[in-house]
This record gives sequence, structure tokens and C-alpha cells, in this order.
Amino acid sequence: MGIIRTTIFFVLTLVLSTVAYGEETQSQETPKKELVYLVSDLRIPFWDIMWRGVKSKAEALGYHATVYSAENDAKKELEYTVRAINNRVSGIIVSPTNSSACVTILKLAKKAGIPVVISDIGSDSGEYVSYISSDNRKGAYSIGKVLVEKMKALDWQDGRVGIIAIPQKRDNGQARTAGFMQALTEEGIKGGGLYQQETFSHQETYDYAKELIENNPNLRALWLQGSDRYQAALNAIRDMNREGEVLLITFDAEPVFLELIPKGVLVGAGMQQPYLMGEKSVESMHLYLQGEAVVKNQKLEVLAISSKNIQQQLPTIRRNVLGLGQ
Amino acid sequence: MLRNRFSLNAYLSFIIVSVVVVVITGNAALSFYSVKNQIMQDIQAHSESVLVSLQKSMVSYMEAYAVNEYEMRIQSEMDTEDIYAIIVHDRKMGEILGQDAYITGKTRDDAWNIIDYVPDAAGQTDMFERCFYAASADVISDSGENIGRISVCNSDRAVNLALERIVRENINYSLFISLLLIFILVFTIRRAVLRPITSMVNSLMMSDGMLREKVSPQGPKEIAILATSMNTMIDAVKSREEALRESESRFRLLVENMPAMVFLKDAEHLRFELFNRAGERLLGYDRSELMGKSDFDFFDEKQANFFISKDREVLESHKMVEIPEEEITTSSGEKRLLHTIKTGIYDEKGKATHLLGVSLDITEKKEMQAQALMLSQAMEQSGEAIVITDADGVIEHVNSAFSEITGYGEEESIGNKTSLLKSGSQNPDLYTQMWAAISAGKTWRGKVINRKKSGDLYPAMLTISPIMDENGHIKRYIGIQQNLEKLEALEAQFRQSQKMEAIGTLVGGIAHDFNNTLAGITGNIYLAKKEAESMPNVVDRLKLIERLAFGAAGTIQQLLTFSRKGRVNRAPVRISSFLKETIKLQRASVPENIHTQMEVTDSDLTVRCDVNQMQQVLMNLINNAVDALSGVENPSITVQLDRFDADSTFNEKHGVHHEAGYAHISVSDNGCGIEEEYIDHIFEPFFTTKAPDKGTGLGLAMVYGSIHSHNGVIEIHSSQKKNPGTTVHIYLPLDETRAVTEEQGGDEHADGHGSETILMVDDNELVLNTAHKVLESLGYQVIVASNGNNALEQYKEHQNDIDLVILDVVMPGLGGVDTLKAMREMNPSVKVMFATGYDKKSTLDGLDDIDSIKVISKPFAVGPLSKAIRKVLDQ
Repeated sequence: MGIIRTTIFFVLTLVLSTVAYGEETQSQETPKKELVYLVSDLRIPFWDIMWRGVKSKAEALGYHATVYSAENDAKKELEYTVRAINNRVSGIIVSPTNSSACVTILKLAKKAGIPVVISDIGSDSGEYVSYISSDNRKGAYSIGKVLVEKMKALDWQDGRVGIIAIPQKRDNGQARTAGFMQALTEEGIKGGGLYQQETFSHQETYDYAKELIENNPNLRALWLQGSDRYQAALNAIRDMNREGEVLLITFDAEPVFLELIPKGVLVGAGMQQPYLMGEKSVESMHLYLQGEAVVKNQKLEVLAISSKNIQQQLPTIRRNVLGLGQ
Repeated sequence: MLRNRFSLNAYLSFIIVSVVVVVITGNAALSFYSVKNQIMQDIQAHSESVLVSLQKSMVSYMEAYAVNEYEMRIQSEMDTEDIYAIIVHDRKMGEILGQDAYITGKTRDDAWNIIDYVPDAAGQTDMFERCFYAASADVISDSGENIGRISVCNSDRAVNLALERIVRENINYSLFISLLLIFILVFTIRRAVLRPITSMVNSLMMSDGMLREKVSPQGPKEIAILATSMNTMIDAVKSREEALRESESRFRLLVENMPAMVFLKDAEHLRFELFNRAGERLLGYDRSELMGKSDFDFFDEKQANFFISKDREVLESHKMVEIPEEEITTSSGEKRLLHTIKTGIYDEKGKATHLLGVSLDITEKKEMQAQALMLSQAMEQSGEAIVITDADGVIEHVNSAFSEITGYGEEESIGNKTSLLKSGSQNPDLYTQMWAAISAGKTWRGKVINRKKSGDLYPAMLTISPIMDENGHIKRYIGIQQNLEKLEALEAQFRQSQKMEAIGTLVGGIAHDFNNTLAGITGNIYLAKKEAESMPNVVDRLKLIERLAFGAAGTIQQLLTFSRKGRVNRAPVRISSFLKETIKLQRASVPENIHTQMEVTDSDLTVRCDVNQMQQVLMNLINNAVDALSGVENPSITVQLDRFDADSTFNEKHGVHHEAGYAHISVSDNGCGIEEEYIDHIFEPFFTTKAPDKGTGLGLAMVYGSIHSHNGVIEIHSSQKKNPGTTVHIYLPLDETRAVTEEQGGDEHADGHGSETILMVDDNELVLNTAHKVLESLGYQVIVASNGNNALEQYKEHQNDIDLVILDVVMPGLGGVDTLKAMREMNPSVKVMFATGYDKKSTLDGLDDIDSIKVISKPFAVGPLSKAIRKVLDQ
């Protein structure tokens, strides 16, 4: 009996010792939980706000997040991709310089077995975990409705609306135009022309705005599909002596808009939520790494902000749009 | 046969298709190899072009690290071209990755889908070794740096696909071109050549091989000329066909309306193919019933076999065969006679195709011919002279009787007028009346006296009738004259016969009465002799009276023989033996200077006759001959016997008819002959040319009556001129039974007595009383009756007592025969005897058992009478 007890004790001791050694070894070999955020240019506020959202959420979930800004340089973007791959990071969240370059990133990552979540800028092809983007069409429709309500309030339904658009070859450009035109068409308001931005410069925006005003005597509004060159448009209205006669409305927002919209300088703005997008990207990567199901394409709401609701939406705007925290 | 031939369309189509297919196929093959080479060159050129193009664009892409762009560009090149693979070695990207070069590109899997190029993947490492064509070029940056390499690979699959496409295209092209060429060629040839020819052919096809519809002169010159020629030919053919149709129509009309039956049979089966209306009427069948049928369907086997055999004979001989007379049976079963001509119809090779027959119904003709022949023969055979003249009385035809009667032959008569027969002894008014009647179209009949060629006159009953045409005009006269010479002679003979018959009746009646009288006389003499037995002188006188009475009875018997009412006992007698025996007996009474001879030609002739009468006949004739030979030098008597078969003239002349023939007995002498004026009276009773003490005038009368009693004929020919003499011809009917018997005569002198009761019946009171007394003298009980009815009453009253009835035959009222019949009704076994003054046969007709009944002749001698009575009673 003593021998038996001694044998059982010895075996149990041996098994428990083996298990404990295995766990220790495994914990020593587990790779570092690191996420890399590849972004085209962190100098642009929109991407910076998004990085803050990524970083905030990653850290909240226990990841170490690193950002590589390619500064719109394809070589840098590829070099950062290779670096991340060589570093065997847990996952890559990418806002590529363009959807084509994203294909190479996805291809290299796939070859290396690293999951990728795309945020805002899509990819022409390739395999990824999830694509987080704004619902550009719905957002444009909503902001279109804001403009229509304004024009109806002013009894300007017969007036036309000019559009200065981002390149329409981009999916988000096409979606924005379609949603906005749907809102106008539903109320019988006609368009007054569309110019696509190429340089995104102040002068280009000013020139397009001016031409639209000149070409359309009945022009009652301008819609910028971007937000950073709003001043050029305002200048053109002013220079064409159409202040108070031509309204301005935008897609995306600048912090200053929190003042301009209540003042009526701007009728409204369709505001994406980059902070929220960054968070959603990390959440999706985390779910993937946890082995859970992830929604492949996630479209986040674009807030249609006018003077009527800006105060109500201000907390959301400050956090999710401007990344200013609560 | 034409069905097995291909049409011109088929030939041309075959030729066109073959030529086009060969040409196009050859061209396609040449084109294939040419294009193949061209494709290979193009592929090489294009590969190099792609390589160059990619080489240029790759510079910017590689320098911009636009990997996806140049991969998309490669994808684009792969999408649009049949390039097997494009491989890029990107040294700038390789620098980023820490490699010599980033190798990427596109290639294709087995299904030719574009897939990413994986350098280390299986099957892709030696890809370039299997390339059909490969080209590579370095990518040099603007600064001259070699930043990469691009390679383009074409597989043979691309070539093969290209060639397959080319083949398909060539096939489609060839097919299209072939079809187009075929269509053009066929269309052109059909339009230019075949359509006109087809039009002509269709015209031919539509008209059973005969050109009827004109052909439009379309198409090339030669075909137009051909069409024009054909049209000319069509016109000619139509013209000929029209003529042929008219001819055929006339022929059909002619055949259809021919009075003769026309038929056509096919040569093989001999079935009817054509029949005309006359044929339908003749056979009694509808045409539809006849068509396609053979003779066996309508005629009996014998007739059908005959027709068929004749048909075969015609077809095999290739000659026309005439059947003068053949009989057919119509649908109604009537027999008709046909005169048929059959001939074969042959094709150009001489093979028989049909048999044509024409039959004329000659039934009526034959009947008319037969009738005409019969009339002609009747006319020729007629005993009456027939003469046919024209309207002026000039003779056109005479029959043989005319020549026989007049003596004028046919050649002598024809052309002369009927006046050559004028005798001049006729009243001229008769001819005037005759011509007036016949010129008016009436028939004249009258008796005329004409003159023969010999100058002799002859009486004739002449009937002349005019013969008129359909318009009622007199064209001819027919005269029929009956020679009255024979008729008048016959009339004279008839009158003589009637006279002799009347004399016979007269003599028979007288003889009957005489016999009754003599019966009374001889009976009373018998009684007187019995009463005067004591007076011998008286008895002698009575005996003398009795001899005279029986002598008178003998004369009466001869008279009865003449009148044929005498008793005749006939039996079959061989006449030659009879003649020899009789002549032998008679020779003693013939003077020795007279040469008597007998000539028998047929010794086996038998007649049924009364031998006694025949002996008397022959003796009378020989006695007459002996008397006629008195004072004649070399006197001779010849008796001849031969067989004579009577002809119609003989029968007609004598009013007899005996088919078995006659025994002809002639008794001839070369005596002085009989004067012509006595000839008609020679058989009359008591007519004699002899001296008063030499003849009674009853000999030939007895002969005449006897021969007629035997149903014979007697003729006498006598001449006092050159070779004078007389011949008497006797014709006795031959007896076919040849049962020769001789009648045995009774014992006339045997006496008979009895005590039985006899009913004696006779209407002559003298005979009745005498017989009564004679019978009583013989011991019999006698009951008398004066007639038949009285006799029946007596017999009814004394039937049980009467043992015998003696009946007179001829009685007024109920005769002897009828009385006997009535008695037999009362007693069938009644015994009876007849007593008659006539011939038994001529008076007892009507009784079946006449031969078994005893007949006695009056006057009867007592001896024979008593024997006869006794014999009947004892039976």
C-alpha cells in the first residue's frame, strides 16, 4: 500500500511538473501583441484623428500600437509594410495612399500571414479582415437633405446647386455624388455643374467655385465634397458678390465649423467620424485575432450637421469627428 | 428507266459543288499554311511589341513602386492577348524586400485562366523551356540603371488556338465562299441554262413525254435557238397531232358507227380493249362489261376456244384471217352467225401488240340467202311454170318447169316476149282484159291455151302479178302457169274412178238383193225337194233350178268381187310360187302355139291376198290375152313379177300410199290391142269387145274389183299401132310379215243336225222364213226376229233358251254388229254367227274378235250351213 501511494504521488508530481513547465515555456515564446497602423500621411488631421482612435482602442485592448506614416510616398509605404512584416506584428491596420497600393500591401501581408484591416481608403483587390469606411452615400444624402430644407426655407427650389467633387473615379467620390443628387432630385432641385478636384489646392477650389457661379446665374448653393478648402469657396462667393445668395455646404468638417455652422456661414457639413473608425478597426482586428467572426465591410454613419442639430451632436462631433475627447 | 438517271440539275450541282469544294479547300489549305506562318510571325512580332511596351511602362511603375499597377498592366496584357506568361523581375522592389529582385507576373493554368506566377510553384519553374516563343528585356531607368527584367512567353497552344480559329474561320470562310459560289454558279447556270432547259423538260414532263406547251426562248443564244426549234417542232407536232386527232376522231366515228362489230384485243391476254356500238348491240353487252374481259367471260368454252385459237393463228401467222362463218351466242342466248376478218397489229419490231377484228352479222343475210335459195329452189322445183318479165313483157327469167312444159329452154326464152306461147286459139279479148288488169297493178288469173315449142297446145291456169318498186311503179311481172294437162287427166281418171265406184255400189246393191232372193229360192228348193221326194221328175227339175240358182249366185259373187263387197279371205302368199302354180294349171287351157313365159325378178315377194280371187284374176287375164292373140303371128304371153317402189307421182295418181312397196305383176300379149276409145270402159261390168258367146263382160270387172279389194292398183296399156299389144299391170302391196299361210276350205257337203234353239235375225222376210223352215228341218228350235231391236227383245225374253244367234249383218236401224254388242252386255258368252251378202271385212268392222266369229255368205247351201251351225254350237 505504501509503495502504491508512493508510486501515485510520484506520477502525479511528474505530470503536474510537466504541465507547469509547458505553460512557462509557452508564455516565454508568445509573440508581442503589436499592431501597426500604416497611414498615407499623418500630417492630415483626418488621419491623425483616426490614429488616435486606433491607438486609444489598441491600448485599451492590450496591444502595442505603432504608426508608420508614408507621407504619401509609395516606397515608404512598402518599406513600412516590409518592416511590419519582418517584425512579425500581430496585425496591420492600413489607410493606404491609394487603393492600388493597398493591393501590394495586402499581397505582401498575406504572403507573410499577417491579417490586415483597411480603414477608410479601400483596396482594388486582395484579402483583408475587414474594411471600415464611412457611409458616404447615406451621409451625402443626409447633408443633401439639409441643403434642400434650407433652400425650401428660402424658397429657392428653382435655384441650382454646383458641386466641387473629389475625383469621381474613387468609390467614395461616386457614392457622395449619388447620395447628394438623390436628395436634390427628390425635391426637384437641379444641379448646376460638377468639377472634380485634381490638386485639392485653394486656388483650384476658388476657380471652380467662381466658374460655377458665373456659369449659373440661378446658382443658389455650392457643395464641397471636402472640407479643408471651404475658405476658397467662400472667397469665390464673396468675390462674385453673391454672399447671402449662394449657400455653402460641405462633406467632412473642420474644427472651425463648430463656429461657422451656427453662424450660418456654412449651411451644414457631412461629418465623418475618423476617431470612431480607428477604434472600429482595432476592434475588428482584435475580434479576428481572437478567432471571432468579423463583419467584412462596416460602414459608419456620416453625421449631417446643420445649425439645427450641431449643439445636440456636439459631444459626438468632438470625440468621433474631431478626436477631442469628451 | 428514266427514274434511275440523275437530272441535269443534279449533275451540275455535283460538278459545281465538287469544283467549288476542291478549289476552296485547296485555297483554304494554302491560306491556312500561309496564315499559320503569318500568325507565327505576328505572335513573335506582337510578343516583342508587348515586351517593348511593357518595358517602357515598367520603368515608371517600378520607379514608383506601383507593383499593383504593373501587375494590373500585365493582367491587362494577358486579358487581351494570347500570351502564356509575363514575368517581371523588379529589382527596386527587391531592394525593399531584401532580395535580388521581386519576381511577379501572370501565367495561365491548364484551363487557360490567368493565375499569379509563383516562381517556386510546381510546373512553373521550367515554363520558359516549354514556351513556343519567349522574349525578355531589361527594364532600364531613365538614369540608365537596370531596375528589372521583363519576360514574355507564348505557348504553342496560343498558336494552335490561333490556327484552330483560322481553321474555323477558313472553314466558315470556305463554307461561306463555297455556298456563295455554289449559289452564284447554280443561280447563274440555272437561270441561264437550266431554267430554259428545265422549262423545256417540264413541258415534256407535263405532257407525258410529248411536246405540247411552247417553251419561252430564254437564256443564252444556243438555248434560245434550241427553244425556238422546239417550238417549231411543237407547232409541227401539234399540227400533226391535230390532224391525227381529227383522223382518230374520224376513225373512231367510223368505227363507232360501222354496222359491223369492231373489236380490239391485247395480243398477250386477248382481252377486249375496244368495242364499238354495233358490237354492243350484237352481243347484248354494255361496253363497260366487255372491256378487259376475254372470250371465256361471254361465250361457252367451245366458242371461246375457237375464237382464241383463231386469234392465236392470226397473230402467229402475221396474216389476215377470214372466217366466213362462225357462230356466237349473245347475252340473251340467241345464236348469231358472223363473218369475221381478223388481223394482227404489230410494233416496229414485229411483235404483236393487238388483234383487230371486224365481224359482220350475217345471220339475216344467211337466212335471206337460205330463204332466197329455198324460194329459188322452190321456184325451180315447182311443177308450175314461172316466168318473170320486165314491164314490157320481155322474159327475164324462167324456171325449169317452164322449160319442161313449154319445151323452150332458158336461153331461148329470155329476151323474148311471152307472146311466143300464144296459141292463137284464144279469144283476143282475154289478153286485152289481162293487160288491163295487170297494168292497173292487179293480179290476173285465168285459164289459157298455150302452145308448146313442139306446137302442141296445152291448157294452163295462168296467174300474173305485177312486181312494184318502192314507189309503186310496176317494174316486173311474174307469171305462174299451172299445166292443166295432168290435172285434167287426173280429173278424167277421178271421174272414171267415181263412175266405177258408183257402178260398184249399184252392182253390189243389186247383188245383195239377188243373194237374198237366191237364198230364199235355194232354201225353198231345198224344202221342195224334201217334199217332192216321191216325185223324181219334180226333184230333177228342182235340182236343175237349184243349179241355175247357184250359177246365178256365182255371177252375183263376181259382181260382188267387182264392187269389193264380196267375201275375201286374205292370207300371206309368196307370189312367185303362186304365179308358177297358177300358170302351170292354166297352161293346159292355153293353145300350144302361144308362147307363154314367166319372168320373175324377185322371187321373195309376199302379199296378203285371197288365193282364190287371185287365181281367178290371173286366169281372166290369161284368157283375155289368149283371146287377143287369135290370128296373131308368133303369139306370146309374158307374165312378169318384180318389186316396184312407188314414187309420189304413182301415189298421187292412184291415191294410194304403201311404203313397203308393191309386187308388180304384168301380163303382156302381142295381140291386136284395144281400141283407145274402149280403154276407159274396159273395167265396166258387162262391157266386152268379144263375141256374145265368148265373154260375159265381167272378167276384167271382177279383176278390177278384186285388185282394189286387195288395196292394189291396176293399169292397162294397150296399143293397136306399131308393136301392138296389151299389158295389164297389177300392183299388190307387199306384206312385211311374210307369214305364209293357206286357208283351208270347209267340207261343204257334210250335214249337221241338232235340237238347240236358234234365234234367226234377218230383215228380209223371205230369207227369214226360208231359214226358219230350213233350220227347223234340221231339227232346231227357231225363234225369228226381223230387225236388231226385235232380236234384242227376243233374246232378252228367251236368253236362257237360245243357244245360238244367226245375225244378218246389214239391217235397217240396229245392224248386226250393234245387236251383238247389246246382247253381249246381257250375256258375254253368247254364241253367234253372221250371215251376209257382202264381204266379211267391209261389213263387220267394229268387232275385236271378228276373226273368231263364223260368217256365212248368202245364199247359203244347207250343207255348209248345217255344218257351220253344228261347229259353233259344239264349241
